[in-house]
Amino acid sequence: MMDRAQKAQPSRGEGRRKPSAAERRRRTQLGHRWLRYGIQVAFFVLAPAVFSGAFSAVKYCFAQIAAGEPLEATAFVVLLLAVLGFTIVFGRFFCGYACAFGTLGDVLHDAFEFLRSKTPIPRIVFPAALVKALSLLKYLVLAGICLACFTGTWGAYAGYSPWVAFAAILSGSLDGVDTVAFALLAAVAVGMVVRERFFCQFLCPLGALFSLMPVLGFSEFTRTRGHCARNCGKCHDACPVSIWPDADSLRHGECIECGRCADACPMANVNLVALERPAARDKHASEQDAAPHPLRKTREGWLLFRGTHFAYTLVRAALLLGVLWAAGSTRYLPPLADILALLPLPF
Amino acid sequence: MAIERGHVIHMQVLFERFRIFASKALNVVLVAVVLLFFNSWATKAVAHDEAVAEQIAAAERAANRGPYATDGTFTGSAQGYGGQVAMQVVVKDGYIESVEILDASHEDQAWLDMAVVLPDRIVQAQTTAIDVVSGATYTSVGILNGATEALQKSMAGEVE
Repeated sequence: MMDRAQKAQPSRGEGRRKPSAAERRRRTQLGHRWLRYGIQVAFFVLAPAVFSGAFSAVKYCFAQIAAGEPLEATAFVVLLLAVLGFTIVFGRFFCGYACAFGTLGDVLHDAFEFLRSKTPIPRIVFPAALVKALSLLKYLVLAGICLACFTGTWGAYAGYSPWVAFAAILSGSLDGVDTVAFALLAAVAVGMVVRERFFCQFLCPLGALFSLMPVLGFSEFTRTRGHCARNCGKCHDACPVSIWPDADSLRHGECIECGRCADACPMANVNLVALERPAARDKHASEQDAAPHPLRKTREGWLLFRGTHFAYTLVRAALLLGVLWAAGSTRYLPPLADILALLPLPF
Repeated sequence: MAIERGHVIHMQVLFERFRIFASKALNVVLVAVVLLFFNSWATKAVAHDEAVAEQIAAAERAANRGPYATDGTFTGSAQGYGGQVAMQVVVKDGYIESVEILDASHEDQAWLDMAVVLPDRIVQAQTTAIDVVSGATYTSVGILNGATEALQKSMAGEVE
C-alpha cells in the first residue's frame, strides 16, 4: 500500500520521471483533441452554415419531386453532392471536424465536463439499449422531414427548426424567429451538455443520411478483433458516438472519424488500415501460430496505418475546405471564379 | 491444419465489410438512377407547361393594363444576411417587366446563388408576395423587400 502511494506522488528529488504508457496515450489523445478543436474553429468561422445548406438540398429534392419539377444543380445540391462524395472517400470527417452544430455540441459538452471535474456533479450515463434505440430516432427525423417536404406541409414546421434559431444567433438578427425554435435549440443544447454528440447521434437528419453512405475501407477505423485483450473496451469507452470500431457492423455508419478509439487502444490495435501481408500469413500458418502474439504492438508482416497523425488530419481538413470552397460555401475566402479569372486559361 | 482459425475470421470480417459497402453503394446508385429518370421526365413536362402559361399571360397583357401605377425604372434596397441588398425593377404597361439585383456584395456566395432565382419568380408571379428560398431565408428577404420598396415607388409615382 505504501509503495503504491509513493509511486503515485513522486518526490521532488526524483527528477523527470518517464511518463507511463497510459499517460502518453492520454497526452496523444489530448493533442489530437486540440488539433480537432483548431480545425473545428477554423470551419466554424469559414463555413458555419454548410450543414443546413447541404440538408436544404435534400428538402429541395423532395419538394421538387412532389411538384413534378426537375431537380437542378443549385448551389445547395452541388454542396450536398460534394459533402456526400467526400464522405464516401474519407468517412464522416465533416461531422467530426467541420460541422458547426457538432462544434457547438462539443464546446457545450467539454465545458460541462470541465465543470464536472471541479464539482461533484454525477456523470449521466445512458444505458446501451437506450442509446441504440435513440440512435434510430434520427432516421425518423429524416423520414419525417422528407415526407413533410413531399406533401408540401414542411413550410408550417420549418420555422420551428433549432437550426433556424442557431442560424439566427450566428447572423445576429433574431427578428421573426419563432420562440419554439429557440426552445427546441435550448432542449437540444441540454442534451449536448449531458451527452457528447447527443444531437449528431440521435437527431441529426443529415447525420442519418451520412450514415447510409458507403465509406471506402481505408477510412474506417477498425480493430483486428483476434488481437484484442479480453474485456478491454477502451476504444468503446473513448468513442463519442458509443460504437465499437468494427467496420463489419452496420453501426459503424455512426463513426465521425475522430480517431479517439485508435488513440485509446493500448495495443495499437485500432487502425484505418490493418492488412496482413500474405507472406507473413503463410509463415504464421506453417508455425501453427493462429493469431499473432496479442501483446505485441508492432506486428511483423502487417501493413498498419493508424490514421490519427497530425499531417493526415490536416491534409483531410485542407481537402474538405477546398471542396466546400469550390462549392461556394465558404465565407471570407475569394470565390473560385475570381481565382480562375486570374489564371491565363485559354477559355 | 493448413488454414488457421484467425485467418478464417479475418476473411469473414473482410467479406462482411465488402457486403455492407456493396449494399450501401447499390442503394446510392439506385437512388441516383431513379432521380436521373425522374429528371429527364420532369424537364419535358415542365417545358410544355411553361409554354402554355406564357401564351395565356401574353394574351392577358395585350388586353389590360397591369396593377402597378407608374411605368419606369425603380430601385429599392433592404437588409439581407450580411448587409443591404439593392434591387431594380422595371415596370412596363403596369406589369413587372424585369427585376434585377444591383448589389448583393455582402451576401455569402452559395446562399446568394440559391436566391438569385427570386427575380425571375417575381416576374412570373407579378408580385413580391412569394415564398423565400428555403435555407437562404435572409438573402431572400433582402431581395424580396428590396423589390417591394421599388414597386411601392411605382405605386406612389416616384419616377427616378
